[in-house]
Parts: sequence; C-alpha cells; structure tokens
Amino acid sequence: MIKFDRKALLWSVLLIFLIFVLSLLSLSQGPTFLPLDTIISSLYSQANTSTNIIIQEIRLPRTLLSIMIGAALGLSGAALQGYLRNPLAEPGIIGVSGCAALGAVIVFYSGLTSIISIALPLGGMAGAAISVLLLGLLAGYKSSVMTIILAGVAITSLAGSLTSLVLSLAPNPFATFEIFFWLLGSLADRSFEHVKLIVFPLVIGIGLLLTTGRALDALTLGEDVASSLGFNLQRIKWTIVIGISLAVGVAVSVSGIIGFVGLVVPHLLRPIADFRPGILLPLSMLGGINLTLAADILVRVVSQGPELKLGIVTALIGSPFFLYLVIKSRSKLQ
Amino acid sequence: MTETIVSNLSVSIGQKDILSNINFSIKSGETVGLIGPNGSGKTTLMRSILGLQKLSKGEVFVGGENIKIISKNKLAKQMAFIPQGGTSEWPLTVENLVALGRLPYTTNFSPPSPIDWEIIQNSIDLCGLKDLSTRRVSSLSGGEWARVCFARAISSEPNLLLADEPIAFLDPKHCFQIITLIKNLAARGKSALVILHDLSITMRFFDRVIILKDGKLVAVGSPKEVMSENFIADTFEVDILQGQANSESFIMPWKIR
Repeated sequence: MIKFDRKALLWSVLLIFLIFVLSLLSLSQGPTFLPLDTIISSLYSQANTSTNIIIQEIRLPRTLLSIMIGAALGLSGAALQGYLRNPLAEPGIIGVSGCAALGAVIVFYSGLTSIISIALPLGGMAGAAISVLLLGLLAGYKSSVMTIILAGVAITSLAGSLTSLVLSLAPNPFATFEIFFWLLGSLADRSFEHVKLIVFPLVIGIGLLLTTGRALDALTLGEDVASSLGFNLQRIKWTIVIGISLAVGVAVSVSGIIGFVGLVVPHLLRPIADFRPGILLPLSMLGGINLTLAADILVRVVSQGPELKLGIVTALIGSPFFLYLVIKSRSKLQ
Repeated sequence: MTETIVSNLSVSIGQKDILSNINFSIKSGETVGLIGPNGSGKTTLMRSILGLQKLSKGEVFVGGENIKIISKNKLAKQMAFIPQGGTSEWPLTVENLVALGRLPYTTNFSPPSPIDWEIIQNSIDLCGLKDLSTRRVSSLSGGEWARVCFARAISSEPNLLLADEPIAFLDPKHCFQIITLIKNLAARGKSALVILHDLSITMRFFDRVIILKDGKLVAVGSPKEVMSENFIADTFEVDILQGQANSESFIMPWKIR
C-alpha cells in the first residue's frame, strides 16, 4: 500500500525508460553490430533477409527472455526479503535456484523434454517449490539471519550434490558437458519456443508476488500485528511460495542459474522505496530487468571468442556484494 | 454496539491449561487494566481476544459479533493491537509506519485516499509526533517509539485498543503521556484493554481492573473494589505499601515476602 510518492514514481519512470534503451542496445549487440534504424525496420519487416532473421529469431527472444527472467529474479528477491524480513534472502542463496536447476536437470536426464517440452519448466517449478518448503521446515518462518543462511547453505549443497550425482550418471560425456554449461546460466541461443514455454507460469508467478505488497508492509510490524491488521498469514505464505516457485522455477529452467540479481537489486533500491517492502516489489522488478539486460549485453560486448556465461557475470558482480552485506550485518549480529 | 464480551474462554496448550473459564466484558468508553504475575496468562488472553490464539472453549464477541465468524478485515477495523516492545523490521519513516494502521481500509487496487492521509496526520498530531514524522523509526528514543506504536494503532480508528505493556520501558513522564493518550481515546467513546505491571498507575488511571493468576480470573471490578492491600499482596506474593496523597489512595510493591 502506501503513498506511491514522487520519488518512487520518478524512479519507476526512469527505470522503464532505461529498459527501453537497454532493450535496443541488446538488439544491436552480437557478432555483428546493428544500428538503430536497421533494428526498428527489421522488427516490423516480413522479408526473409539474414538481418531480419538475426533480429527476430535470435536477438528478440534473447532480449525478451532477459526482461522476463530479470523481472522474475528482481521481484522474487524483494518478495523473499520482505517476507523473511531479512536483506540477505535471495532465491540463489537460499537454495531456490539450485533446487530449480536440480529439477530441470532431472527432467533433462530422464529425456522427458523430448516427449513434452513443458516438462522442463515443470521440473524447475517443482524443484523451486520443494526448496522453499524445505527452507520453511528447516528454518521456520520467523528465523534469524543466521538460521536462514545456514538452512539455505544446506539446501544449496544438497541440491548441488544431487545435481552432480545426476551429471555423473549421464550416459555420455556430451550430455554431461551440455548440462554443465547450461547450469552456468546463459541466454544465448534461446528461441521464441522458450519464451512461449515460460510466459504463462512466469506472468502468473509475477502477478501473485505483486499482490503481496500490502501484507509485506504489514509484516514490518511482526506477524501478530500483521494478523491483527487483517492479513491471513497462511495465505501470504502460500502466495509467496507458489509465486516464487512459478517465477524462479521457470526462469531457471530456461536460463540456468543466474544468481545474485535478487540480492543486489532490492538492496540498491530499498532507500528509494523508503524501506517499504510493498513499493520495493515493482521497483525491484524493474531494477531486475535492467540489471539482467545490462549483464547480458556485457557478456556479448566483452567476449571475443566464445561467449562469457551470464550466470558467471552476475556471480562476479554479486558475490563481492554479498560479502559486503555479510560484513555490514556482522556488526549487527555481534 | 461496541461492547466486548469474553465468555467462558479457555485455552490449553497440550495438557497445560493456560486460561480457564474467563468471563468479563468491556463497555465503550471504558479503560480496563489487566494485571497479574508473570505467566498468569495476560498476553494469551489478549491474543485470544484478537483471534491470534486458538481457543479450546468459549467465545469472544466484539461489537456484537463473534470473532470466529466475522471476517479478519472487519475485525481489524474493530480492534488494534500494540504488542509488547513492538518491532519495525525495516527503518520506515514515522509517517509511513503510522500509515500501516490504515491497511485494513485499503486494497491492492485502492491506495490510501486523502481521507486516510488526513486520519494518519491526525493520529501523528494527537501523539505529539508532528516534528518527527519524517524521521526513521530506527533513530527514535523509547518514549518516541511508544508514541509511534500508539499512533499507528489509533490510525486504524479501532473501537477497542489492546495494548501489551505499552509503558513497560518508559520513564515517568513518557509513561504519563501514554496514559493520557489512552484516557483521551476513552473520552472519545473508544475502549482500551491494557496489560500493565505498574500497580499504582493501574489503580489511579483505569476505570476497571481485571486480575489474573495462574490462568484464572481472580478479580474484576473498579480499582477501589479489587485492589485492596491484602488481596494484591496475596496475588503477587509481595508486601504492599498503601498510602494516601491528595485524598487519593495508592499502593506500591514494597518488598519480597
């Protein structure tokens, strides 16, 4: 709830404008640079030229996936931090992404993807849902920073070792290689098939998470007061679990693990939201889109030979940031 | 009709009876102090009235409606709760925190209206927080924070305020400030149920007193009726000093027995 005041509104407009700019940049970047007028004419052209094919079938789906997955990651991070009332919570750190990847890898390995294409995002969703429930079971929903992180580490390492197990059982080295590279997180060589595959669950997940803003605001005052303000805590819990499972689960099933977006973005935008978790949700969604688009442009600009993996770039940006947050919170914990 | 009725209320957790067979009512415009030794079930009773505690027996009616049947949102408009100590997990500004009290009146699709903001500003003014409204709550003193919690609660415009030890950590001046706010609320026809440990404040400022011990209601009535020296001494198992000042009698805990 609360006043969507001028500062938040101004930043939303700015972030939306940046999304347009970065989207155009994303369409222009690749092995061949394409200027703005070519991009715009190609987007509407029916002709079967190679430029049109590059824009419409390679760069456009890639850009759309950056936007969708960035939105899912930024929003999920903000929702999870608001719900657990903990600035260190993030789908990657607490094991959601790891479990979603495990789910997707199991589906990959089983060969179900060749029978029904929807199996892959379903696997990702199931993995993500299990991890959030496991986290609730291990740490409880009113737990300290330490308990959450520890439970998350436990879940992440469990998912990691099970993923390694599946990899080591893979029938041929090429399959192992393929899954391994997919896990590193990338948006390269994705098509409109991927966009179509995840758009519905992703939009539903994002929609669910966006409805929790008022409840997250109320939770600022603790669970008893939130409940006395008329919120059904069980319903909020399940909305968050299902929303994150849908959004992050399908995102990971298409892109592999792109970590730290959900950690960095809400943290940077929190002062702009005046620390209100509700307003932070849409802001973080827009911020997540910007960061993912920018990082995916970066991997294409800096790579000379084979393309750098997007998941590696976000981890390189995110890990030092995570360390900084840990050091900052150390003084509070002592 | 804004009366609150607690009827045959019992709460057990496992085999243990936390509260047994509690009966009382609170009229509009009445301030009721809830006292009793630690562990006597005061907080559980308050949580039961709020619908936060599963009852093993009995019923609670607020404004003539059973809290089990009435919607959570309707209940939130009837009652506001100030928990012990209170927390703000994020360093909101005073104004934004007080605004949380209007949550029951808004939805995802209808943000707070100008009327809501007027009520929020009024609550801030009533609690003397005007100069602090843009301050972050993390930078407030204990007395300021207590008033912010109070302002948030009254911005819900509740008919019944439930406060769990709102003056526990306050110095005498800030303590009297909160008591004055509670009395002003009652003067506007609202009622308040307040958990306290300060016996002399309870005796001097509250219309009625409920005394709990070991999960049972041992006395309910006006302070003069129920807060006799001997009865309080027996209930709290300490020696009590009784005195007179300006033709008002007061009591204070004196020493352990």
